[in-house]
Amino acid sequence: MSEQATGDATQIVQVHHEGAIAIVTLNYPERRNAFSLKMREKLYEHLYQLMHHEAGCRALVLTGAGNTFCAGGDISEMKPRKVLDYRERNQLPLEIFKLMVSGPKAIVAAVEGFAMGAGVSLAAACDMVVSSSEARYASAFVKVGLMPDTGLYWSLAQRVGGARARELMMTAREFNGVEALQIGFANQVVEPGQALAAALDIAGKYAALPAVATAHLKAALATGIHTLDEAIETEVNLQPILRRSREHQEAVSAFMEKRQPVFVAD
Amino acid sequence: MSVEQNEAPEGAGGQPDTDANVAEIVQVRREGEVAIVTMNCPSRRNAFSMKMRVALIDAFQRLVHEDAATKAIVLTGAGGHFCAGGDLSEMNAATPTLLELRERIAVAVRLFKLIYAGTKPVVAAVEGTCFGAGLSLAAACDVAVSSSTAKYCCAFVKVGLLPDTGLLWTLPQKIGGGKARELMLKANVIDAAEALRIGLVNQTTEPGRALDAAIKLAARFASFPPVTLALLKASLVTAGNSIEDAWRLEMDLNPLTRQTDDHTEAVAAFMEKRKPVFNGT
Amino acid sequence: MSGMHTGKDEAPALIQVTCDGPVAIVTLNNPGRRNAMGRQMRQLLRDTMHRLMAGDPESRAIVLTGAGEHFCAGADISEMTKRTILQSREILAESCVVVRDMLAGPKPVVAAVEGVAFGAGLSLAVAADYVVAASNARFCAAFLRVGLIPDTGILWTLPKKIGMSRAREMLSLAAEIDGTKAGAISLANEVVEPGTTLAAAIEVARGLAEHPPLAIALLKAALTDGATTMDAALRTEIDYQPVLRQSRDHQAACRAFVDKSKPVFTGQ
Repeated sequence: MSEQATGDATQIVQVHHEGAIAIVTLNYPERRNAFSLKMREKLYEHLYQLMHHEAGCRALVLTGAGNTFCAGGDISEMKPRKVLDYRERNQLPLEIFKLMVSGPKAIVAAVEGFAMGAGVSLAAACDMVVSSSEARYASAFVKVGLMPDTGLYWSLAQRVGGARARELMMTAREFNGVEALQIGFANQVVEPGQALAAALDIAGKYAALPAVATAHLKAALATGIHTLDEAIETEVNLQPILRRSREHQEAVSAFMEKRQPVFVAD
Repeated sequence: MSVEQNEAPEGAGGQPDTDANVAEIVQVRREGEVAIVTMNCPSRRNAFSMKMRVALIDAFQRLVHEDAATKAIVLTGAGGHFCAGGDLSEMNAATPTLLELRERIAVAVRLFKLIYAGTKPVVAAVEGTCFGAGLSLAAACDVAVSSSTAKYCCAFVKVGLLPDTGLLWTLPQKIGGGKARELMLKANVIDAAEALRIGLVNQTTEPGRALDAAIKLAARFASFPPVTLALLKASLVTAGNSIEDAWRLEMDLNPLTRQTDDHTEAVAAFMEKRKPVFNGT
Repeated sequence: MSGMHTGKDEAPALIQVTCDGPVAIVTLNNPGRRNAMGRQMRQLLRDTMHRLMAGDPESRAIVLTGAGEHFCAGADISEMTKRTILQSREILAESCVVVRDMLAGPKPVVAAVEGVAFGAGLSLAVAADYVVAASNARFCAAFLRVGLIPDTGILWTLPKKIGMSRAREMLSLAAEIDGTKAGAISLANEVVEPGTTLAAAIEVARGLAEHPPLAIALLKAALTDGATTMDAALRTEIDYQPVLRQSRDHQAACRAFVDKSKPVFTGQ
């Protein structure tokens, strides 16, 4: 697999390509990858590019430099501001969250070290979370008089259920990678140092699956399937389209001819 | 209205049970910023009679909306039991009209909302039996601490009723839709270990120690900025519903909380490496 | 006590129904193809399930299982020939009627899963109220592998059962898990020795059949359609509970509690 580095090592968000997988690294290790304004801007830029304009990228991995994921917002940036100013500043994290959750490509979190505040929000917004057993998570917002942000309201409840999300947000308590697996926050738990390798493995599986079906499924889940009728409506609307896709027809042919399918997106 | 009104004592510090207190069907006392609400009808294992319901509403109404000194609430039961459920002999005695029944259920719903959707955190301390409406009350709390010998049962369907007092919502929220459907249909009894495993309770303790642990937890809540905690709890009722709801709540509430004195104090305390002092504004 | 209803006289029906007291056992019967479901079989299942739910006073609970060694390998891929969009829509809607009946219909459904439950087979298992799985059963939302999105209601039923992050793993990666793992994540309610799922499922169904039928019916309706938000759940209990309080079965239960006797439930 060829490896291309985009930009130099001082970039606050780095992107490397490994075949069809893009590895996005939050790179501000001296502040434990704090989610500063500059990082938010760069992350949005790169995610948008990868999700919507890079055909060679089929899946993403999100991770942090310096053996830690992201320790949260940059508290030194929290100066008093006007209400309208805050509303504007809130826009960007929400756009990032939306991109991750409803974009067409799967994104896998590889978490080592701290994932707190915005860090836990970013991990929760991913499709799958691979966690070091010693990773440390917390929705610590309420302790500093803040609400959870970057979509955590939605993404935490999705992952661990409404009541557990309520408990974690209200108590602001810490949990580690082992508990993360138990409560459904993480999909897989590994030895410290192994999260990236395991995440790449999963991303590779996503990259090998039909791209059109993947994109449609992700969009359907993001819209939210709150009732049985919504599920039925969604599948009745989308499935006929997928039945006519090249990938589906190739899969059917491969099945009948007893061979492996070779997927080419429409 | 309940005949046995219980006046919550003002001021800090624990209050011993006065003679009047002991006879109350719902007792209220305070330890620091934590109010302890005790269901007190041990001879009926604290059955959820109409009288009990009304007394609980009075207590919660006062603690949540009128008592600024209370920052967090613990709900528990006297006599080694939490609550064994609805009062079946009361239900057997008379069948009210359909409209009267609607009103009675609305009463339970009012209580549920005070606990689940109110502005102060509520911790359940469960010993012994937690069946039917008892389960509903425990599930309505933000967190539950359970004695290792407590027993849980969603008993409603066995007596031909629907799970009520919010349990149709809260049980799936706590333990997931599949497990909730199972417990509601089978109406089987589960123990504390299972309750912990599936997420119905958050912590288990030695028998007799659930209340102490619950008070500790409640004190932790009491140490957080009250306005933020209240906004958080209120917003969580609808926040998980959809991305749009979550987005709107974040956009609307974050700027608000950043304007509070308590947030400014928290940031200052962090930068100065000291403990914050919150005053609730 | 058992009756066989066959669709044709020449060949065994693709869907078979037998009775065991108050339990109706529905068997997917295409064992040569691991009970893969073509259109005819799906329509028969739809009609059978609807009849049992809506018009069969003999049964109070339903068991769903597969003939032979497997539950159901999913939709019949050989039937996935080119269809118009409108045809596809119609066919999908047919499958969804079954799932709706299973989830919101008045009688509890217990799935007995041996072998594979793949694709739409998984969707059917997950639509049951209670799943008994063999420890070596295999569950897989295989849809993505053939370039389709997961269907037959599974986009709602699976996250409801096992939570969204585990559901995402199964749905978007087409990850396969066995019966033991299914038990650990609450996809299966009970895990048993291979070969014993049907007996175990019938026992569970018999227990559920003893509960007051009206309460069960309203509970299932409430859980499927009536509790999607907190406000909806509260409205549902205010609307339905008074009806149940006035039911003969509830009053029989109260009397039995006071008299310390065993109540007899009639569904009224």
